[in-house]
Amino acid sequence: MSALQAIKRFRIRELRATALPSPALVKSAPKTKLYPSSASSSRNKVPVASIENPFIPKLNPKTGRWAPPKYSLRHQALLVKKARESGTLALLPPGPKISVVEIAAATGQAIVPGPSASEKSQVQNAASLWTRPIEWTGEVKEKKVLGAEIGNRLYAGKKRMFKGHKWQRIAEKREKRRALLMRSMPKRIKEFKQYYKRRRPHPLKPPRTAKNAKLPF
Amino acid sequence: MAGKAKARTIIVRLISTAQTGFFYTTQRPRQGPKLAAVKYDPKVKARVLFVESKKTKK
Repeated sequence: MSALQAIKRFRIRELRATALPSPALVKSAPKTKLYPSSASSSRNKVPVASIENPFIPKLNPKTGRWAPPKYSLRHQALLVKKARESGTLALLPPGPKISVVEIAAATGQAIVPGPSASEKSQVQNAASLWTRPIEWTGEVKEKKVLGAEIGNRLYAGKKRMFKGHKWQRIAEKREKRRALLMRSMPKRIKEFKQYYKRRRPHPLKPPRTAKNAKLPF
Repeated sequence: MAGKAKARTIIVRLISTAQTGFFYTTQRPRQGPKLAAVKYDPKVKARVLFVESKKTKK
């Protein structure tokens, strides 16, 4: 399948899924309530179809859960690749694989491919069907790469540049704790000496202590 | 046959109360009182109180 065919199939599938009336249908039955707004205003023009962007995930307002995009990232990438090949980027909705800016740029120089001269007359209607403008609904969130503008994203957006070793990270806390303990050290030593003085007044005499007496510090 | 007899002395660690992780290793009689001593701790560069902790690991 050619690249153009793939895009065409994608467009037709999306247009069909929305169950919008085709221009021909609008012409034949203009008073149907299916398409009231633009059918009344521009009967002869091709209506702008409003279709949910199938490249972005959808939030279900009832359940509050996200549904994945209709087209997987792999499929999206494939479509974008094929659109690039055939110069039909403007026909794709924006998504994670193709930005709004890119599409806008492509729309500016859009070469909407028509059929070859010989079959032009036969498929004129059909061609306009799938290339007709579509308004993709849904907000596309652009992923911002920190530091990309300066060409170096190594440390961009990082809380600190270097993590350091564990001992470096806890050094300050340890120092504080040590200082606290050292502040009370003279007192502790004094208590220790008093304890032994009481228990063993003469260091040369054997101790008269109880076995395994518990130290108070 | 009975198991090996316990040694009369045990090897103990005297750990710094400045909590620097520095320790001295010494021996004391198994039945004797717990050890404590004021000794030099090079981490804080001062004489601090050392108290006995667990036996040294084998």
